[in-house]
Amino acid sequence: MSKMPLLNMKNQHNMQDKSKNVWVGKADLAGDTEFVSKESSKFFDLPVAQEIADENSNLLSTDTNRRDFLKLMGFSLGAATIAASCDTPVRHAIPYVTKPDAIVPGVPTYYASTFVRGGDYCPILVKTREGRPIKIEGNKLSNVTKGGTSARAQACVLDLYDSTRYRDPMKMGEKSDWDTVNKEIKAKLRSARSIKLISNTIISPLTKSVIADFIAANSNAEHVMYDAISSAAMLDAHESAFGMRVLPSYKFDEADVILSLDADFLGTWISPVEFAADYAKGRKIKSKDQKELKRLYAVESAMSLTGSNADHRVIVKPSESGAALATIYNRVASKMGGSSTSAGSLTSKQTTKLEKIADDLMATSRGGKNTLVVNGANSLAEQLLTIELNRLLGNFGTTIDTSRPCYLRQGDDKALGKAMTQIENGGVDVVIFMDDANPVYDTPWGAQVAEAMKGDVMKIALTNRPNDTSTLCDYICPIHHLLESWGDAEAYSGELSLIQPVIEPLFNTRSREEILAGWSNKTMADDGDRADFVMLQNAWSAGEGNTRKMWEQSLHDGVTTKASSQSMSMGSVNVSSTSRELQNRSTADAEVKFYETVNIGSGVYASNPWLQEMPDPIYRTVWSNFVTIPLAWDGKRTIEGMNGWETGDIVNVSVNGQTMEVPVVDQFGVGVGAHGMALGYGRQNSGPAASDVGINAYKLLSVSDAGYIQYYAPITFDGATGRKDEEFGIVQYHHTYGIKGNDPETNETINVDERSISAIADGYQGALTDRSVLFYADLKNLKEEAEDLQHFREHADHLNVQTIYEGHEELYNKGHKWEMSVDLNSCTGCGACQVACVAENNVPVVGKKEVSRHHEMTWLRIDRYFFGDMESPNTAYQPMMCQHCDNAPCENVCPVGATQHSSEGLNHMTYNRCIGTRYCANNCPFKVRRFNWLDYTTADLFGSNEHDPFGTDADQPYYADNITRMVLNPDVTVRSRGVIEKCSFCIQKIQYGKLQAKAERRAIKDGDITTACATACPTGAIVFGDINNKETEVAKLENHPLNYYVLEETNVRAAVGYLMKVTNKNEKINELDA
Amino acid sequence: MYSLRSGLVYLFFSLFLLMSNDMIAQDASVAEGKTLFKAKCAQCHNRNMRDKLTGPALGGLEDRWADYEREDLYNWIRNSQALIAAGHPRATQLYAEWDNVLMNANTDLTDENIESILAYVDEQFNKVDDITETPGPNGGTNKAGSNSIFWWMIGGLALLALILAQIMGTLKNVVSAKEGRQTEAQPVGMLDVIGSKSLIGILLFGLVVFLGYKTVNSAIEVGRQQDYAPEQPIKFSHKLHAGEQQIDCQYCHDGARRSKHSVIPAANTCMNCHKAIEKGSEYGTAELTKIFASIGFNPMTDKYIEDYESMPEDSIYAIYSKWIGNNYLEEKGIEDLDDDGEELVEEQWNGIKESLTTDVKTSIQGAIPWVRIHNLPDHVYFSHAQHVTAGEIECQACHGKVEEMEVLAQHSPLSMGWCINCHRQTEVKGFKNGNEYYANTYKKYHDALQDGEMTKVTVDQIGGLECQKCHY
Repeated sequence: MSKMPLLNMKNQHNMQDKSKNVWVGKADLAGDTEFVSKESSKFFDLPVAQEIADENSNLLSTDTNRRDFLKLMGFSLGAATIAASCDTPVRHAIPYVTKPDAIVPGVPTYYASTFVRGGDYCPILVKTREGRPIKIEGNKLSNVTKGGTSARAQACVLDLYDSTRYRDPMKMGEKSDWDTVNKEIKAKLRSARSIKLISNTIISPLTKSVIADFIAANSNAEHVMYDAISSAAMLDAHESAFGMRVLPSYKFDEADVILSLDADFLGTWISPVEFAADYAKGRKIKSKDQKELKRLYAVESAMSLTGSNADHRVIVKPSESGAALATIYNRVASKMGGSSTSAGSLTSKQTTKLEKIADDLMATSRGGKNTLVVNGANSLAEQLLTIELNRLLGNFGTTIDTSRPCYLRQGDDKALGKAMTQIENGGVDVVIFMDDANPVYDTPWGAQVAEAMKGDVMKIALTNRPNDTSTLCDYICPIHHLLESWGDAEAYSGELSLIQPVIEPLFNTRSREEILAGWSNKTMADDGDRADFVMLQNAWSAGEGNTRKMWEQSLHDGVTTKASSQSMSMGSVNVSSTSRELQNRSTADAEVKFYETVNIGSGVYASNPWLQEMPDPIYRTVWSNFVTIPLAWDGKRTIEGMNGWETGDIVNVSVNGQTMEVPVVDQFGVGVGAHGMALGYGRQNSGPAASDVGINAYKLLSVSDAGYIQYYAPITFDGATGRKDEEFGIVQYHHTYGIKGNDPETNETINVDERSISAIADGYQGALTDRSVLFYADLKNLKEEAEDLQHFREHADHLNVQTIYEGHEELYNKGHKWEMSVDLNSCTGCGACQVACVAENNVPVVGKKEVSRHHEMTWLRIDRYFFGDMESPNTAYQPMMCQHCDNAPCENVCPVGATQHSSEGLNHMTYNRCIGTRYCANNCPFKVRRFNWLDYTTADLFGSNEHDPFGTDADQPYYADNITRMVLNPDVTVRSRGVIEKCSFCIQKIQYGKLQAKAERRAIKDGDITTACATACPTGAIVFGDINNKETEVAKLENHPLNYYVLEETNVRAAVGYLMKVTNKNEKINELDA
Repeated sequence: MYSLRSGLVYLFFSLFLLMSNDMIAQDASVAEGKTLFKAKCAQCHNRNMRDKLTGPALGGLEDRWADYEREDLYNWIRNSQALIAAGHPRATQLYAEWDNVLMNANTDLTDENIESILAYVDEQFNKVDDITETPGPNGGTNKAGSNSIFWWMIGGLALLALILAQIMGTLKNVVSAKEGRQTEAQPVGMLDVIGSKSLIGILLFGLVVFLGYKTVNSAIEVGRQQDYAPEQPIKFSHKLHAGEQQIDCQYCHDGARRSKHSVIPAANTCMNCHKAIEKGSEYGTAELTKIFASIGFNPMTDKYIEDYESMPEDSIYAIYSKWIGNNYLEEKGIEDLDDDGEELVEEQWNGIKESLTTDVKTSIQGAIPWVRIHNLPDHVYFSHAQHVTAGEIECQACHGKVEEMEVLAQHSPLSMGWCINCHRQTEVKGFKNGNEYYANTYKKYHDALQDGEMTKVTVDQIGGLECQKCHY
């Protein structure tokens, strides 16, 4: 009798089939023989070897010889001896003079506030230590975001400590003072014939009332709001249908089938934190017998976060989006009684797919369930048709709430265009740019306006950091950062949030409300309180039924809900009027879609190094934008980028008559002729992190006849330049693991994990295929797949019990045992966890060049995998951090015992013991350990090791600046050069939580202790807790039928469980693909 | 002999005193009174019961209230405000005498409680001056013991080597003799021995080993500061405050129970008492004026100075030189400042200036730049709250008998070996005193303790030696 029950062949076969269908890039998919040969022959293409071989590098060209070495050695020994014999320096301990009651040094204090930037909104809690904010967390009391955060909200704390911020009022580029600046501006305002106040969307009732006062005091003033990524047509469409220029609330949690037409609601569209949380509610799998799951269709051109998460994604050219919508609409209208419209034609395959989607929407709607259609196009006709489609499907009142309007987008393209033309023609005397309004950069009128601003107009910037527009202004009135301000926000009618300062203003700044009120000749009682506080309080007490007690409660909670003051009521939509615009189809062979990225947004976040270095979730690129090109597959072996180009190649393109050189990224899911390019890059004069990083795509935008900004354009490729961006940062192929390839000599499949890393520097793609890293299933065969998974796990476990080390189980059953669970179905890949980890753990920014050398330091990466249809694949995002293996391979290779296991199941890393052999990193099966090649955080004694991530010759490297360093978490060591670091499961938070429980003499409750990533996640995909307490959520998830551990068969016993990715395919569309 | 005998007498006498102290302490009501006094009264009333603090000296208060009902005194202590409102003559008089400063209400005190407090007050008031010793565990290790063993072993081994060499030599000779070879019987001179290569070799080897040992040990000592006792900007005496006045450590170092930092008290904490005690017993105005100058308190008007932050140095000088001068005059009983007086004023003013300014802080106003004594490396995460609140460790366990230190010194080496050693030996108290956290988290240990399978759980058993408990 065999002790080892073999897996039956069927299961094994299935497993192999499945893993063959998962891929990260093209090389693994093709099973390319070159893949292996290249990596073995090009060993010396290692990044470091490359660096050494680089002619510009002086590493090998120095005259250092043995004598010099000995001299230096002798000197250092002598210096060390002298240093050691010196007295220890006297250090001071400086107490408070009068200690504030709220502050206990060493204990964090949390304040509720709200992250608002343009139309981005997220109620937050700000963690402060000794009076300085260091971390952002979500506010669970919010009805809107329910405790979730975004990468952008997480990163806002770094903006506060941006040393490029304006520190004083400025006049003509010179430092000035408030009295002078205010006096001169006021004098000019009085005599001005025309004043334009230009801002992004403002959701603050207080700011709006101050602007109203300003306009009342200056009758020639006009306020123009715009969004760099515009929703103007959508607002206008709702105005035409509802009589109010506001958006309704979308309830993604109520919808069973969602159709997104270029609306990236999981990443960037309107309120992604809220929508992602609502969406994920219906995507969770409770049992393997589950029969129902929310379904998501995406019709889009460039791949968005939403598109990558969709069950089916239909690729159309950007100009065909109207035709695609019309196809669906007409199908629905013909069956459900609406009037039809006419539009351009699509290919028959596209049409059939779209009709199947329409059928599914109708069937769902008729079956008593809910659908929702959202559209991101900036076209009035498409938006009107979307409203009508939603009406036909009966979505108003179910998934679209018109009783609670949304104020997150208010920009008006037409008004902006008019104002810009006026400025251009010299008809404006004073123009005021507020907050992040940066029209010189982020509008199609930028160049002309920049030219016109050289003329006689008085330009004033009310902003807190330099941007393309403010650097052209006469007067700079620096305003407080969000975390220094008092304020309010109303994202939805009745949903009020308060903003409170958590630190005294760092610089000589004022609140924008105070400045504007001053210019409106408003006099404020000076009773010692800050002007913005007084204004906010006055506005609050003026509100109906507001009391002091409510104020205090709201300030404590950060949010308060009142009855909605507005309600939209449906008028009618003239469908036939839409056909003219829908038929207006581009005839270009190739088009480029300009999209907003999750991290940089419209470009306002470009000055934030954390967000620049957060890889784009879909393309996994950093510090750059690019043009996406499709991959061509010959159906057998070869997969090649368009024209044979590879990622990082620089090619010539012309768009809207402008020619330029751009790098390309070859990628699955890019349609032929449907290219993409990110907006938000290529800013000028905006600080080292933003300036000249990437290419400004706003210059390529055009304006439609109806006055709406068009986010696509025809593109022609004029051949390669023959050059490559050697520092192109794409992390998809860094730190890959589980790689297999074909040995060209024996034609056998071999593991090439370590060796292939050397090939990556050559632009080659490492890849995962054949090992148990990612499991996926479709809902219809979920039960079978889940059982297969269990068989696989049993098999793996059977191998693992054959151990020579007995008593392993005894090690971790005495106290806590910390584990994590990641639900691959809830994870949308938004990256909030990644930035939260950077903020919590003092992870340094390394810059573009270092990233291109695989030196990025992030403790948590989000691996992206493709599976399914080759043209338009499904995507799985897998957050990958230290797996805290109980049989950790890193631990037993460390020669100095710097990494060891704890009785709580944690893999401990001790920096001060580490000597930097990197054996552990080599031996890590998951490639999650990071080595400090350089002194990123400038903790070193020797300046030459210090590293500036922006590659500038600044006197002070980025982190050496004392203002920047204020963002560091004092509870986490700043690592020096030459040591390994990695995810610690936020040990500082674990220890703090345990101490709290001990001090209060109570047991730890589930949820008391979480990691930064779990707290940041808007969809609750990451769960952390003590698995020895069987009541915790993580302990329950351990027994979830879809739970598995990555590389379980290797017996490393990881502590991070993943729930299998499940799609909900429409069989009728699957048949079409087959 | 005489000295020995007197020593013995002294020893017995001290023992007797110690025992009698114990006997007094066993009086339950006084003990209760002490606890209550510490909790309720010690913030404002001096423990020696003779000097005033924020509130009056309590010694002899029963006599002062003798004219009234005992009940009135109870009410006064429980809720003085009510008594004042009722117009009680003694109450109103006291209230006026103390600038209308109210006393906290203590409505939860029973008559018995108050009686025990009064008993404690009485006992303290009538006590002869002696400083009660607060027992603290001795953190030191027996260095001499381990060292002597080391030397004994070396000596023993050397002796053994010598004997073996002797035996070897003899045997060699015997063998040579047997084989009939001529023995090298020339007598070896002393000089030959000293000059022989092998001896020089052995000595050199020994020297290298010794120097290496010394080097390694001193390298380990680099950055360690045991017994470090720097001069502080203010001659603050822990002996006086923690010893004689028995102020609780955590009254000033209030972070210790809830934060990683024990917290150097802010100047306003000092002012809680020193608003009333404006002159020191030892240094008069010399040291206390530094606190006033730091926070901006004018001891002549008993008020904080307005806009002190922006006050020029001349004006600050004017205030405090006058205060120092006045005190000098009062002490001497003279009208005008003599040369000594002027010198004293200048000297004390210079002391203030020197103490409150550093290279980076040039103004007198603001925080007092205390010299940090306990300097843990940055890569060590140490939490006071963990040890004080969760671990219930006495402060003295690490800091030594602070209450006996005139100038504070670092008691422990603060080396990793020392930490680890303590973690190995120290019992986790939470298991036995009903801390739910331990009972709930470490059920196995808890059960084993209940069943008597274990007698105690030490810190290392719950992971106290693991790297990232302290390094993260």
